Amino acid sequence: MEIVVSREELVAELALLQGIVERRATIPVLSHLLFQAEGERLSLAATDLDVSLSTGCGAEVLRPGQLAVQAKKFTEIVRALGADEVRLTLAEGNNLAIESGRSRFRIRGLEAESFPTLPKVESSSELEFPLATLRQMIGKVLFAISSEESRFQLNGALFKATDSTLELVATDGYRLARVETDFSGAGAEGLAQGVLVPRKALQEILRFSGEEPVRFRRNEHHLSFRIGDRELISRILEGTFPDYERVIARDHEKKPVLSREALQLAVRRVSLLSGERARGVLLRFEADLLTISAANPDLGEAEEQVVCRYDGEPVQIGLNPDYIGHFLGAIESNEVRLELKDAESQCVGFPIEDPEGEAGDRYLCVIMPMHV
Amino acid sequence: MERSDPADPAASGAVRRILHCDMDCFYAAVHVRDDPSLRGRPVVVGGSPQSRGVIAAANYEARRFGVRSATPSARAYRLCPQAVFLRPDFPRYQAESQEIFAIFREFTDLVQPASLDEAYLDVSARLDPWGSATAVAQEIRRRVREERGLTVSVGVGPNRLVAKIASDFDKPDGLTVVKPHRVAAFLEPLLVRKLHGVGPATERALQELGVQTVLELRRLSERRLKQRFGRYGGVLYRFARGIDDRPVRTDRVRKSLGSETTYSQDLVDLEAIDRELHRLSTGLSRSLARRELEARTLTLKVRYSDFTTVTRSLSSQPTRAADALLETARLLLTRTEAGRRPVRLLGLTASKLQTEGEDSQLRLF
Repeated sequence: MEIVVSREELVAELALLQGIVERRATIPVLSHLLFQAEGERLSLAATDLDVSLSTGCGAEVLRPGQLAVQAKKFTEIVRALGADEVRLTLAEGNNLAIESGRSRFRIRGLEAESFPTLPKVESSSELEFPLATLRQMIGKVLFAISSEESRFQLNGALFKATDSTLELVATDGYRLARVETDFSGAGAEGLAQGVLVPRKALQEILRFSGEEPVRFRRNEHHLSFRIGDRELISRILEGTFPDYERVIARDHEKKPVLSREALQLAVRRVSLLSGERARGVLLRFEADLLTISAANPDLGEAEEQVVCRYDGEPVQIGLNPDYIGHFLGAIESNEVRLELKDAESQCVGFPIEDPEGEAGDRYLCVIMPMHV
Repeated sequence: MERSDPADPAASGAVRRILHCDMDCFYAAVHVRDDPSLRGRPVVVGGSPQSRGVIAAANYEARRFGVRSATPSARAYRLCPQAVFLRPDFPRYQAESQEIFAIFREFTDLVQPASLDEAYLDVSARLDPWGSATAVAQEIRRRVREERGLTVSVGVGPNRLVAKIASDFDKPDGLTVVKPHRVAAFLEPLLVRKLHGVGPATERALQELGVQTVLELRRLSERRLKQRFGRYGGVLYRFARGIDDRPVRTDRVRKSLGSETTYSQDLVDLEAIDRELHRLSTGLSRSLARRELEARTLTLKVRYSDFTTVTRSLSSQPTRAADALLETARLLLTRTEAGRRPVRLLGLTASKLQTEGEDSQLRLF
């Protein structure tokens, strides 16, 4: 193999591949990237066996060939190079020579054959949606994905589609975020029941940019997201997602409305004195006034008042301030509405969309209370 | 088998680094520190000279006259009439003791108080950033001196037995370090009464066997010692050789709970291993229930037949349910080579313990 590639193009693809490579790979080859030079292209691939990315860039291929190369070191080297072009040459003993300007590196690689074969997702039907839409949806639910390995079925988000909507739901058992957006595309049958997309695949999609649409396919065990020449393949997370519709309360009658930013800042300040083990803040709504308070037996107490629009019965609820912060941080509206019942029932939060703004994106976040 | 800490190096066979920290004539020193007029004078804390009480503590100035703790007060007065006699002020000592022990706990969680003025510290896993147990001991001595205005003598050794003797070796304000390979040489010339548990009765009995020093004690067989002293004979036999496996136990809130079993025959098939996991999780569940605790983290320890040992941990919802523990243990087992390599030991430890229901966050699912 001997090729010449643009350093800038290579660096852009390496940045995407870094998200896939296992940091603590137990199988050595998984810390490597697969290089395949053929035609006028250098194909690159990374996998952790659950999530894989194949991508590439244009190349002047003097001699075709293939090799697996240690991802982290190679990326560091290419990032550090000064010249615009990089020449990659497969030398004897699976060594890779990297030459650029006056710099020369030689790093040891592994035989391409030792790199796992990436799954192929063949399907008769394909869905297409804008990347920006998908990214926005992911950004609104990612925080609610559980990182508890023992609840593996919550280590991803439920991705669902109908002929007219796309839906993404995530929960860690304590809070739940759901976003739904209008979507006009046929062929969504494969997603009517929804599939569980692992967190890592969603995080990787957030790294993608550009105007090209996402072309989505699935088969029994895998999902494929193609964006231009890049293909992200993810194993479908096995497991049953909980019956989430049941916990989205629709009949809460106490519905204060308040400034998103004022609430966010006040909660952040008051939570400085919340308890260490049970670090909740108490929200008490009375006529047009919210009082947020926290008490830490070792440190002291904090309280702050925020004006709101509310004419219902006084109600109070203890909430984890981080959960409030994640919800408020995921939305952009000026105002939010909370729907409450009592201190034992979930709080359902909604952004209040600007009447002038574009509709079509429906979002909510359910947060279970804490006993404060 | 319950242990005080899963990281207990005694269990892993590594050399332990134990400190015995002993405040120098603590009660008297507290009074002298707080009342400069006492400095340099013999100070005796205890019952008044007119009473029939005894001395609780005497500073070194008073000891020069032969006054020791437990000396009857009246006799102490005869020995050293110029001494300042003070009534003990236990709440004050207690408060001071807490301050000092708090300093100890900054160095390790494994602090076992032996009394108000002495404690054992296991620093085996806590040598960073000081680098050695000796450096830790020096740092502790410096901190206590500068922050509390008191001196502490520290003994460093591979176990409690040696550390305790070492702290007494260079009192007051001393630091004595006994390296593992120097233990025998350190103990041999000592009188047997220096060994933990050897009181006047045992000392007399040993004298009858012609034993006065530790070196002489080492000449007696284990059988002979057990014949004469029963179970304690075995302890004496090991102590004479500087062997002491007693862990440093903290009486603070329990940080972990668990048990492990070494099998007489290596476990090779997964079915047998699963049965053991079942037994261990059931036992662990019961121990947790007895203490009304729930665990957030479960750690599985697997020692293979070649003695290499791995641990695998997972944190999840607080629980103590046997089936939940078993399920997690099984998941952890898949991350080991059990089944492919023979297993000689399995252990299951619960940590991040909390009182049942303490987690006040309500759940959706």
